[in-house]
Amino acid sequence: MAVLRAPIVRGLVLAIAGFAIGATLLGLLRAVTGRSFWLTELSWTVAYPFALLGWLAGVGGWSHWAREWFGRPARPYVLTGWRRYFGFSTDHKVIGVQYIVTFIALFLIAGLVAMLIRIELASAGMQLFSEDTYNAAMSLHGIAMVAVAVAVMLGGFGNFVVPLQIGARDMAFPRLNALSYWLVPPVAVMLLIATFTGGWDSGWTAYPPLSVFNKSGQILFNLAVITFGLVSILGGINFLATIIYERAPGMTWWRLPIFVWGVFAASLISFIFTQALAAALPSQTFPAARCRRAGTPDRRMQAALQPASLGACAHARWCATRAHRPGWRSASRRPQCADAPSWAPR
Amino acid sequence: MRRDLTLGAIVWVAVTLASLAVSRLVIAEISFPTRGAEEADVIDEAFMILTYLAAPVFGIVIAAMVVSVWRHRVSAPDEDGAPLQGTGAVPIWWLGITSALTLLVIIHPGLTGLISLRNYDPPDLQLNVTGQMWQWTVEYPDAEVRIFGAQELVLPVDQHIQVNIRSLDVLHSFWVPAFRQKIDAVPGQTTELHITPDRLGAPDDVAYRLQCAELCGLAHSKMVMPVRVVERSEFEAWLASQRQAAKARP
Ligand SMILES: [Cu+2]
Repeated sequence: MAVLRAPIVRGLVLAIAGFAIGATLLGLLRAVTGRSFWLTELSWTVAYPFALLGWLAGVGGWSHWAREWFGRPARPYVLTGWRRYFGFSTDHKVIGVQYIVTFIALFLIAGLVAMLIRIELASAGMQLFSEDTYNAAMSLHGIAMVAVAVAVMLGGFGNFVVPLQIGARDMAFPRLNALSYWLVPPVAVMLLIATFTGGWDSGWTAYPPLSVFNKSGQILFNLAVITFGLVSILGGINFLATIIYERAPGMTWWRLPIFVWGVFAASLISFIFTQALAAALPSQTFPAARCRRAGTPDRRMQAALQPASLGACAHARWCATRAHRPGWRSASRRPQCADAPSWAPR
Repeated sequence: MRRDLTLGAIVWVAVTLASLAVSRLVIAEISFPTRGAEEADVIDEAFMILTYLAAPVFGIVIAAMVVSVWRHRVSAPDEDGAPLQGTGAVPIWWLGITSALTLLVIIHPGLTGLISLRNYDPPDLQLNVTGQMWQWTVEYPDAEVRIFGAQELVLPVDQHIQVNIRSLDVLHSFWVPAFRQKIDAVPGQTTELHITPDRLGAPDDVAYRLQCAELCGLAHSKMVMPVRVVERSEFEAWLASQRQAAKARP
């Protein structure tokens, strides 16, 4: 079966297996402690890292790299011709092309959604979308375009051009480079799954507390953006190290082409500031899932998560809208507030 | 080199003049919604200063592009154009001038504008505005009148109005296009705006609506309240009728 040896197929199989393992482990843990085996939102949160590891191992992370961690020699497979673009390649030019093509695909999806939005806005009232699907489309468009704008320049052109422009043989960490690229497809897949299971309607900014009240698609958005943050951080480290240490003799700082300076500045920013985002998003993802599961406010988590005095009404909404439905929430609706009439100012 | 500089200067001046003309004749005329408050001038002026300042910047970018295309052109595909030569002074001047311009804009209209929008005089009228998913509630604390939902927000003309803005649940944003200013409603905080409407207005003008301007979920786009600016006497009469109506309700 030649098809089964294709890296992407192997990655997909291991990703699904990883997901099943993670979800089952969580289910068993819940069953042992006397709760229902099935639970959707938290299952995604817990199973996703397993699926991600399975995917990375399957596409080549195991044979090219991880075998060495266990004292065995790496056994990198070699792909030739067009196939090399579909495998774990450490060649900076191949990775550059992989980035650019992936993001052109994402760009086309985001652009298509933008056209749908414009068609909807061409006349007053709602024709194509409902308010709910409109917000979901707008949110998908936003995050896809932001991701494309950042990554196509940095990941694509940066990988292809920077080593050539500074006279380096390759990037400073070629395997890390390949790893950061192969983290990208899960991001796209998660965003699309989120959209087709009801979407999320907090835009690409995902400001709390809206993102905490939100539909279940928000969980997938958070996981996708955490992953994308990882791409940003790892890519940033790689570019910084390459530009600092891998310049050819005579390529002094003041002789660097302006594009390399641009990549250097952008990498510095994504390396330093993505970490704040990376720290903030899990704190939205995990405690939110916990509160939804428990149905009762977890005061410590609430303090960590919500603005200092969000108010009893908002808090009641936060948990009340979640408590009775631990499953997947795909429809947006107005949260009911038990302890205040709808018009009451505080 | 001299010919390049001459070409660049001509392009720069031409593009700058054309952009200034477009800014003055088109952008300044058509881009603003109805102007309905004194404070709107500060924001419109800031908008135009930035637009005018952008004209020479746009011009020099276009000039640099035209000159490089001209200077490094080749007649055959495999021929090399004129070599790129580093001129260290240009980037340094570029960096210096653009940084100075940026600082200048931060100071004026940025900081000076913010200072002039902050009004410390005692207001003639206080307004408590509360946002929640997905409607506004407006309270006239002195008159004990409260309006919400599809009702109209009525304001007196030529009065200094202080608006205290809160939120019950998520971020919202208080925005009446005619008054230009916009500020977030943040749960757990009170933000404030000072508005002095100086002309009458009615909701048949799209600039006269209190529109939520921060994505807040499902019906965000419908989080609107019509706004009417009326004479002082008419405002008092409306307030009295609202108070009557509130008393009549059980
Ligand atoms: Cu809103």
